[in-house]
Amino acid sequence: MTLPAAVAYFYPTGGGEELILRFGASYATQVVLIESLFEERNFLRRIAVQVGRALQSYDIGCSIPDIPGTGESLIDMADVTFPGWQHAVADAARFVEKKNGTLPFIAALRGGALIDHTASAKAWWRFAPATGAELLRPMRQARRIRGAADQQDHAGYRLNEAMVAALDAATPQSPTGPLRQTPVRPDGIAPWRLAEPGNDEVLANALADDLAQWIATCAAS
Amino acid sequence: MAQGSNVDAIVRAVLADVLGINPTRVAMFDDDTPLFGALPELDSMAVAGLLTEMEDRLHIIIDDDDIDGEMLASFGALLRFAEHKTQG
Repeated sequence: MTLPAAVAYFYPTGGGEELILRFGASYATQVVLIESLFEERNFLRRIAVQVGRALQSYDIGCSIPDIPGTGESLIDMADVTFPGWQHAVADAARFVEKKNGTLPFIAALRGGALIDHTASAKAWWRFAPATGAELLRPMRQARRIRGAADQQDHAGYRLNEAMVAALDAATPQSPTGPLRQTPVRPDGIAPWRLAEPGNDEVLANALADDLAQWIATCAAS
Repeated sequence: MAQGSNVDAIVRAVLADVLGINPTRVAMFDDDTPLFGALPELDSMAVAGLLTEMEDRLHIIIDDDDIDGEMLASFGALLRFAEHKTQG
C-alpha cells in the first residue's frame, strides 16, 4: 500500500520557528514523536520516520519536530538550553493541538523521554528511555579515544556547560497523564550502538503497532 | 590460550555485530590485527558503542580512565583488556 508522503510545516518556539514533519496531518488522532538526542537521533532517524509512516495504516497522524539545534534548525547547538528543548516539545504539541483541535499523544524514543513530560497531551508512550548520563557517556568516551582536549566537544556537538550539567542530572520524569513504556525491543543489538545507522523496519513496525494499540486502549478507557 | 575462550568468542561477536561485518572475517582476526584507525567502520563513536556492548555481554564496567588508544590498537590488545576486566 502506498501511503502519502510527509509534509513539512514550521512550529513557533523560542522566538523563532522549527521544522515539524507531519504524516497524516488530517487524521483525528495525532501523535507527536520526539526523537532521541545527539548521535542517537541520527541512528534512529529512519526508524522514527518509518513509525510515522506506519501509523497512517492505523489512521493515526504523526508529527516529528526538529528541536532547536537539530535537523534543519538555524540555532547553534552551543546556544541550546535543556529547558529550551522541553519548551520546544511543548510548543510542537501545542502546534498540533491547534491545527487539529485535539490534544495529541506523545511518543518518545530514548533520550526524547527526558524532554517530553511538560507538554500537554492525552497520554505518553516511551521506547527504551535513557538518562542524560547514558547519552553523555559514549560522547565522553569518544572524546577520550580521539584524544581531544576540547572539553566542550561531545562527539562533534559543542554543548554549553549548563546543558551538560542539566543532561548529567536528567532522568525521565513522570508525565501528568497515562504512560506506557513499551516492552518492544530490537531483535539483536540496539540500533544506536551500531557503527553505522541502519534501517530496522521490523523494529519500526513493531513500535508503530505497539503505539497504535496503546492509543486504542487510551481511547477506550 | 585466549583463543577459543568464552571472552574471545564474545569480543569477536560484539565486533561483528557493532561493525556489521561478516563473522567469518572477524574469526580471522589475530593478535596483531589492527582495529582503531584501521577499520573504516570503527570511528570513535563506534568504539563507544563497542565498549558499552562489551560491558553488557561480559558483565563488566569500563571506567573512563581505562579507555585509551592502546587498548583499541589491535584485536589482541582489546582481547587482553577484556580478559583482564572479566578477571576483575
